Amino acid sequence: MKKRLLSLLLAGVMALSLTACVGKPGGSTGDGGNKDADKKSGYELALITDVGTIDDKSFNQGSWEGLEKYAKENDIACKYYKPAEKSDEACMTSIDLAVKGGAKVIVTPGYLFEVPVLQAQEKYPDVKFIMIDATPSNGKGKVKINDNVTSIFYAEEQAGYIAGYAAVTEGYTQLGFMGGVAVPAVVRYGYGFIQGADAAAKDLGLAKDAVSVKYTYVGNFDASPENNAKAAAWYNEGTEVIFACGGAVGNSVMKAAETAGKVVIGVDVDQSTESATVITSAMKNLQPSVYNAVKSYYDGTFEGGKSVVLSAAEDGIMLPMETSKFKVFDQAKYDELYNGMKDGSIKVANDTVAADAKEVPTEIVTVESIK
Amino acid sequence: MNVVYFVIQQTMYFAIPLLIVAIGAMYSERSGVINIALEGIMVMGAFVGIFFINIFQSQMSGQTLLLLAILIAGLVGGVFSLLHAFAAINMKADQTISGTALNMFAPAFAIYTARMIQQTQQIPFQDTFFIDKVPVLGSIPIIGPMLFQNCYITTFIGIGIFLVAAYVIKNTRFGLRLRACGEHPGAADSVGVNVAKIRYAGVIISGVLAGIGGLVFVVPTSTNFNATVAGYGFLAIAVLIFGQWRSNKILMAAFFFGVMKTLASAYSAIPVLKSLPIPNEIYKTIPYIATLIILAISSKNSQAPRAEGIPYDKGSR
Amino acid sequence: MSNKIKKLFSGDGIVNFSSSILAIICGLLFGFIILLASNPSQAYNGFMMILQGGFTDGMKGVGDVLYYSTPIIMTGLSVGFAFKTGLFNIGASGQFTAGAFAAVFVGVKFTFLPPQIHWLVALLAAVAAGALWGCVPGLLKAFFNVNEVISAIMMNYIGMYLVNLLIRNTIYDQLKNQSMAVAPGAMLPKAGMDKLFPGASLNIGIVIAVLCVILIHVVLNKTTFGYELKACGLNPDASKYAGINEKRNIVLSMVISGALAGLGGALLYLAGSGKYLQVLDVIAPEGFSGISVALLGLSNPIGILFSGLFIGHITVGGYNMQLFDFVSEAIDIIIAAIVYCGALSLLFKNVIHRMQMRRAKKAERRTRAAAKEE
Repeated sequence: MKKRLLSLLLAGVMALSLTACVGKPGGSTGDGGNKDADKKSGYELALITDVGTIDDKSFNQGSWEGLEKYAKENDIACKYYKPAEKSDEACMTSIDLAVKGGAKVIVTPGYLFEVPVLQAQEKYPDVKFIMIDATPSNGKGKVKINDNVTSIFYAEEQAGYIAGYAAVTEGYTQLGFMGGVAVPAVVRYGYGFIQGADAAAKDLGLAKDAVSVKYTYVGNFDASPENNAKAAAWYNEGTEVIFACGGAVGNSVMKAAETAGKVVIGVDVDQSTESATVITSAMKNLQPSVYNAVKSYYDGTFEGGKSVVLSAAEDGIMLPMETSKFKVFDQAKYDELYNGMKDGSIKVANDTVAADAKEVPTEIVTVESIK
Repeated sequence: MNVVYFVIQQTMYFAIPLLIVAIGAMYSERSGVINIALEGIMVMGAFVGIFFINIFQSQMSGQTLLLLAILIAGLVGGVFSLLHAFAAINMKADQTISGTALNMFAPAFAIYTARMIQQTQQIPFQDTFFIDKVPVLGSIPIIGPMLFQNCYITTFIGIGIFLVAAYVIKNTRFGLRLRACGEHPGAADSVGVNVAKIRYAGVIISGVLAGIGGLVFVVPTSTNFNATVAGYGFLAIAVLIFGQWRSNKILMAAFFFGVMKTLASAYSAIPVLKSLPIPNEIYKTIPYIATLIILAISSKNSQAPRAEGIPYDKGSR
Repeated sequence: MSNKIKKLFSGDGIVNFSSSILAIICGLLFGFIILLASNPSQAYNGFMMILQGGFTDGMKGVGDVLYYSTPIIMTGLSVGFAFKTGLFNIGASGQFTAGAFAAVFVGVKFTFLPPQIHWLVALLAAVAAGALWGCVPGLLKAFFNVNEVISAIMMNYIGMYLVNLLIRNTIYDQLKNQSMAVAPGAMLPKAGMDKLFPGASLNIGIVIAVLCVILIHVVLNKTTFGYELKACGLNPDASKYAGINEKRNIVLSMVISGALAGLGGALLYLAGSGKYLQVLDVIAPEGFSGISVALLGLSNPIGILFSGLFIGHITVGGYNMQLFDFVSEAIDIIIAAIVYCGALSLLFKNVIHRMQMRRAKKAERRTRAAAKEE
């Protein structure tokens, strides 16, 4: 009996020593998180992630960077919460928790929060909500935005357009588009990409069908061996550049590009630091727009009750030209396109133009839609 | 031909980790201990290995770094598997349960530690390990492009591990004793073999190899580690059974599974398959269904170690 | 004599209970050390948050606990029932997924049904689907002698990919990469639970779960059928000689076990909490939670009910712990530690049991000796 107890104790000790030895590599930096916690006022600025975390290489990350930047500059405690599961109830509970944690402004990226914020805007009239890529709705199309909510959309098709234009200008003729899931934002990027490639091909006077685009949605936003193999297969078939448009899907594509010696166009945030193969990123300006929205709250100029689409005219989208690795496509051309969108002389159709990528109107580019 | 080379190169990325882990599982099971904790051990190995790369990639790069990381991953896997060995051998606990506990523990621990240390869950790493073409060997026609171009050193390590492991279990005294413990521990004990010791060795070997397998799985297929090895630990168990606990058959099983995994994601680039209306889920399912069928057919004369999963009790000899 | 047996059993219960408690204490202690190691200044507060669990939020918190507990009680019951009959059903995940899909499919497509019975039909569909998925490892075990653990793992993956394929082709909401919303009539009736627990998405799901617990308890302990199943689990050879149809019982055990897990899937996805089936290559975690629940509850239906509630409780607590700069994955670590200790304490329990037996024998001998002297 005693022996058994002893061995039980031993089991515990072993388990402990194991974690002690595993935990070592970063142990010295283990106290990263508790700086903010000492402040008594609670976490005034909160972000609630959707399924991903703040390192999703996409809107969670971009929004968090904006929020964190403002918080750091003004010494305000900020925090992000992760819902217990992917459901409306759990998201609502997270909002409750964030409010309990002292939140005055809550940023919610993603469509997952449509239904919860519809509830929360009534429940917490004093809390401001900044929604990214979503509006409060009951999930069946009924939209209601209260004064304490602002919802921000982006004209992703314009960013996709410039990226597509730049890729063809660079001399690439076999393009690829790998979206995460066919949610509206991703579709807008993709359709813009096709149109931009088409416009560039026209400007360069290329023959019909000289440029082709392989187009698919991989069905997730994850970095996975499957996505990697898919991208590798495309590169192997001759695709020269893939617009990886689905958060961490990009990591799989970059890996494939590294091994194939090809290139990638990143998405949402500047992904040039992720891999040397990223020639540019089709960005929406998540960071500055969240930053500005948070700032407007503290400046007392928070404008709620509306949903805005940030396009080139509002500097809502961009390509990070400083970190881009273009040889032909230059700043002048970029400015020309950008200004064209600003003044309306270049019009880019968004996701409503066609049900399938194949039906996006083009003159030169052929689109091969892979299911 | 280009497509064939491509499929073979891709298959390596999937098949090598499966091979390494399944060979490890073979050692554990043939010593008489079921180890379904492989998934968790792989996660642990990959987690610490990638973390190591992440920290030291500013000082080192290339194959040295990778080899060191592999060593560390193996070490961590071995230590982690001790928990399972202790429960299964000393405490005579239900082996499936302690394995399940380890499987639950590993990803939670990886996410928790990563988030507590660096705020984010994913651990990025730079891939400085890729080999375009092995000098000399890469230029051999046919075999060169298949094995020695666009590859990682892990491929050769995996094959090396396989050769050594297959030799050891078949032709050495230790191998013989290990097999005896899995088939008839009572008999082994009566001729003076320390069953507990041998079983410990079996489990630790499986842990070391699973830890290595985890790292080997992550490195060629991603640029970061996100606390998962995508069910490859369980798949490796399927490989083991599909291979009927025999090293040569495991080799074939691993490559069969690897090819299926490749087809599931890359079928759109293969002219023949592209036109077939087969959804990728079907390719993904085939390895599992095949295993079920093999199980059903072969169970009458199953090659499974007879004492597998049964704690050895000296008293009941 | 019968009195003695009764005493032994009540002693057994206490031993079981204490070994589970011991496992929980070990697991929690381990969790506390993890918290302490990662963030000493907040560890105490964070740990208290875990212990308080659902009670930090009043009735809503309790409601949340019940909501999270419902599916894992069902999968726990599934695993526990199989344990009692000598089978390890690691395939609860696959059965859960199959049941969830069947329920949502009926919920979305069968809108011609009147709302009063729509949800019932959906539940039945889930039961059938779960039973079907559990049936396969059962048949393979009974007729081909295939280890059910391995075949169930295979069935988990086959189920996951198959359900993904089916969702994509039948009830797919492409805009959100998930299943479509079920018709209101297919959602479980609230039956006043929403008034009792304001803010939590509670419904009769928890009631159904409790009913299942009672049903399984009765079947296992009060019926010949249950006795036969258990006999097969305890000693297959002996039961064969006693004329019990072993093959039939193995298949039936797995069918019932699968049906329970499938029903669990329905209870979660028909709860009206705004949860949808995702098209992702991820095995349903509820199945694995079920293993922990069953182990902790020592496969006893009543025990499973409480252990399910306990895990739901600390899950909510772990989630609230985010307020203290902790990551909710700490809970999974704690649960894993509890399960590991549970695996060891099964043996611990045996030891106590053996000691009791010895003591009882000694006492018997003494009384016999005393009787002789007289």
